[in-house]
Order: sequence, then structure tokens, then C-alpha cells
Amino acid sequence: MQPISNANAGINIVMVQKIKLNGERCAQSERVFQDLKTRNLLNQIHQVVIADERDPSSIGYELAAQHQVDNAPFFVVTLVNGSTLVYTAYQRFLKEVLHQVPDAADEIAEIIAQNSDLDFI
Amino acid sequence: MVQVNEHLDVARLEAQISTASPQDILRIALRQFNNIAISFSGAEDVVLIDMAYKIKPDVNVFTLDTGRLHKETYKFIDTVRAHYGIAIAVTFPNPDDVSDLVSEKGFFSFYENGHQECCGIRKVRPLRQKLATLEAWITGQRKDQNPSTRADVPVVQLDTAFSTNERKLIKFNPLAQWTSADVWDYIHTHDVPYSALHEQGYISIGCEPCTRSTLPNQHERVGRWWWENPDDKECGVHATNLKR
Repeated sequence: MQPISNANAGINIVMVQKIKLNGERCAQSERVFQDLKTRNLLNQIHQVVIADERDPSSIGYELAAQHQVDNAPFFVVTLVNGSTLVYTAYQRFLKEVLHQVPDAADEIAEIIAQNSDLDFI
Repeated sequence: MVQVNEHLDVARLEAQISTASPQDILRIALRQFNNIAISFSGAEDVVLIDMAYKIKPDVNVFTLDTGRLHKETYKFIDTVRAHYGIAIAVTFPNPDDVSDLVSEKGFFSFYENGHQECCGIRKVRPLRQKLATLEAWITGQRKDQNPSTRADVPVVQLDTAFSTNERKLIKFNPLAQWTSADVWDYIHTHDVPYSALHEQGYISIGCEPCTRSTLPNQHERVGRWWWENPDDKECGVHATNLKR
């Protein structure tokens, strides 16, 4: 785990990124990381955890299995009362946890990307 | 803001009705929710309207007019409206969004850049606006329509795509367990009107530029977005796919 910041005292946010066999972040993990950086929000993320294709026992894979998540990146948010929320939708995470106003087009693109069964409409 | 029926235990209900008939599922859905509507695509999901009309003649139905539908689909929607004597609410995309898209990228950008942007503007955004006014909706989704994306479609589910922290949306898929053959048996047995496109070899019907007829024994999804490659799966984190 790579601690980034403890700026958010009320809740704990863990970001899970995927590292591919070539050692690079997967495309979506990279996009989200850069967006958080551009928005100056990286200090809101308490830990960045890696799901490393070169190491199937890496913590990110364990968290993915634990929370039945299929794609990276995702966010594990632990609230003050100890309950846990898992966000696989970055735009929703931005809005609901970091209280940002997401771009409407990005929100819709994420809904389409994460809900392949929407091809029926 | 609509209020969800907080007492509905979706998982328990799904377990109870997963093998029920589509008519029984519709009956439960229409009894459970007042603010519920059928999403009608203008294709063989017309069977839902036929079934629901026999349970609740004033059932709410809506459709999305993307502006790119076949003329046969528009005619069929009017045929259904007249056949059952029901209102069909038509939802449209935001004209400014469409104008921005086609002004910048032309009328056929989806052949170059993929269909997602156009679908987002013409379908998903208006759908989200419509669904924000409902407690629950009913779709014609079936498991057999696309083995890769719909194999796990339940008969009822919390709609995670369109729910928010403040507002939960329930989605019923009464035809989930039915096959295409079941649907067509019903259409013929109950003399249900159907789209003229089905007689021209179309099975799955969407927007005109993104739909084509299929050959016998081809899967219906072959007729949609045929020019696109399978999704990039590089961000998948299925640990079971890894070599240990």
C-alpha cells in the first residue's frame, strides 16, 4: 500500500488501481488517477492499493474478490460508523463522496461503459 | 423527488418470483408500484404491453424517440397506441446536445468513434431523465438476447445504473427467462401486432443506422453495432483469470 494523505479525517478512502503485466497502470486507472490529480483531489485518497497482474496475491485483487468487483479502478470507502461503501463508478464517487460536480457527458459515458446490458435500449 | 417503496426486499422478491410467468411478474410489479412504466422499444417487447394491458388497461408506457428510428418503428408505435387505445409517452433527447454532436462530428460519427457517444446523447440521457420521475420500470430484457451481457438478467433488480443515494429505482424484467421463440409464440397465439421490420429479417431493432437484418441462425446481436470490436478488457480484475 502507498499512503498518500490522511487529509480526510472523517472517512477512509482506498483507491484500487490495476497494474498490467508490463508494469503500467491500466488505461482507466490511469485516466482516473490523472483526473484526481488535475482536480487536486489526490489528498482525499488515504491509500492507493494495487491489483498487480504480475502478483495475483496483491491486495488489490484480494479487495476485488472480497467486494466482488470486476474492473479497476474502484474505491472502498469506510464511513465513521464502520460501514463500507464500494464505488466502481468514478463519476458517482466524485459526486457522492468528494462532492464534486461531474461532467454530464462523462457520467453518461460511465453508465454505458459499466452497464453493457443497456444495449437493449 | 419520488419515494421508493422502502419495504420492498428486492433480493427476496427475486428469489420468490424468478420462475414465475411474465404475467404474474407484471401483476406483482403493477400491484407493488403506482409510479411504474413499461419501456417500449418498438419491437417484440410489445408483448409486455399486451400482457400488462390485460392486467391494468391504463398502464403507463413510454418510448425513446432518438430521432434516428426506422419509419416502420414510428408507424408501429402508432399502431400499438391505436390497437390498445393507450397513451405512449415519447421521450426525446436534448436538442442542444444533438446539435452540438452532429455539428461537430457529423451525422454518422458512431461509425468512426463508436456508438457510445451518440447513444449517450440520444438514449441514455433522456432515459435517465425519464427514469428520475419513476419508482420502477419494466423492460423486455431477456437472457437469450445477448449471452455475454444479459446471461444474468434477473426478473427484478435494484437498478444500480440509475439509482442514486437519495432515490432507489427498481427494474422488472418479466421476460428474462423467456426465449425469442417464447415471445413469438405469444405474439402469434394472442394475435399481438408486431413491427413490419421483423418480416424483413430484423430481430433486434434499434436506430436505423445501427441496425441491420440478420441471416437465419445468426444471433440477433449480430444485427447491432456490427462494425465495432469487442470491448477492451484490460481493466478487468478477475483474479480467477490469472495464472497462479
